[in-house]
Amino acid sequence: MIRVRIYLLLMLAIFLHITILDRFRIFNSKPDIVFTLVIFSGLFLGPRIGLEVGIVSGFLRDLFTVGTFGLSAVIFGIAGYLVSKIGPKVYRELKLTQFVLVFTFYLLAASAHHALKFVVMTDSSLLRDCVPTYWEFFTGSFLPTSIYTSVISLPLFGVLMRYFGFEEHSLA
Amino acid sequence: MHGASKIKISRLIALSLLIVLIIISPAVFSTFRMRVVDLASSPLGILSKTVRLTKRAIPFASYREKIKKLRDEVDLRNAEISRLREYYAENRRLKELLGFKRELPVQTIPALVIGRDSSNWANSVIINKGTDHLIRVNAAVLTPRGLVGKVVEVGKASSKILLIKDPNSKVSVIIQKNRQGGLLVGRPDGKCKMIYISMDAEVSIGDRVITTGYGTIFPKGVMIGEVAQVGKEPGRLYKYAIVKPAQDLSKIEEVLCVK
Repeated sequence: MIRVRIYLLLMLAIFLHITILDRFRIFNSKPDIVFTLVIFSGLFLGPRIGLEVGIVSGFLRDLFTVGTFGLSAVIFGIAGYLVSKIGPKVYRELKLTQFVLVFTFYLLAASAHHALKFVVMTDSSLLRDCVPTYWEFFTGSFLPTSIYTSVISLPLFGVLMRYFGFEEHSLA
Repeated sequence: MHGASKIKISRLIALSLLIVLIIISPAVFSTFRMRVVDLASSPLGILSKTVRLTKRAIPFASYREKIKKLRDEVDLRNAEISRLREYYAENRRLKELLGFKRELPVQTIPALVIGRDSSNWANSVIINKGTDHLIRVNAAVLTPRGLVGKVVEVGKASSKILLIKDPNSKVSVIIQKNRQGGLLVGRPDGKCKMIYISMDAEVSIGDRVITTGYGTIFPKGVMIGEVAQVGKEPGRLYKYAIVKPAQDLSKIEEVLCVK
């Protein structure tokens, strides 16, 4: 039942992400609610669901974007699994913890995606001048999106916890 | 314990196989990916329509519509003026050169934008036309205001457009005023950057940037945008210019695909 619920939410998140959320861009970034779902799944629903949701959400995301297919699936799957290992060791019901985890993991996922893209890239070395540096990606895209996503994740986590029937005392 | 480590190993193997597959067979996944996008294009179209209808229900929607229509008309006129300026400049050059062939206007296919990029790491949109409507890969995509991008993936009923602000996008451009050439590339912050501008070129803020027409993708003389900032690339022997696209790429709803 939990799986059905989480995958229904995932479908909704993807559709929102590619239709309406674009209108809420700030500094060319929109909140990544799909990634927030992955972190929530890993943090509160366990490593297995975290890994599954990560891989499925990554595939869904890769379907509607350009670029190498499957990269996001690998990265999100690993993120969902790793965050589940951290979950039991932190006060995951604390807003600050949720903010820090979403922020950190998003930055790591974006950086990993950027690094892997260069591994599979086939651009000629003559055009390397055209490729923005990692720092430009970091300041122009990764950092603003991490912050935006982390801020949005705070109320979103609250909603998701109520949706899945988690109470504070049950997480102690 | 033994069972748990077996599961871990099998997961690791599955993950490694996935990584290898990703690296060695992008073409296979591309076809599958576009088939799924084709299937999703109808519900996406309905959702986009719902969003547009919801906008109209907001108070003063009729005035907003009128203002939008008038703005679109102004943009069409500006695009025409830009084209006429191009023709005037071209005419002047042709009077000095003989045997030069004038570019013909291009034929286009209109399409609606039904979806945006699903990641924050690329800049693309999905339109509701595909091979069934004669859309082809590498077709240029425009609006009356200017260049939007090019088609990178095509399905039967939908296509993906790589926007000019994507870091993977590269367009050969010139500054309309002094014909100084360069290469327009996208940046992660959503702006466009014209690079390889000669050090002795005079580039000012507000200069118009247009396509050169080199190559088989982008038609000649299509408006890209205006120079917003000029600088010298550190450690390089050329200047760069940040170009503000004429078309606000986050607000496009209808586009034209070159046949």
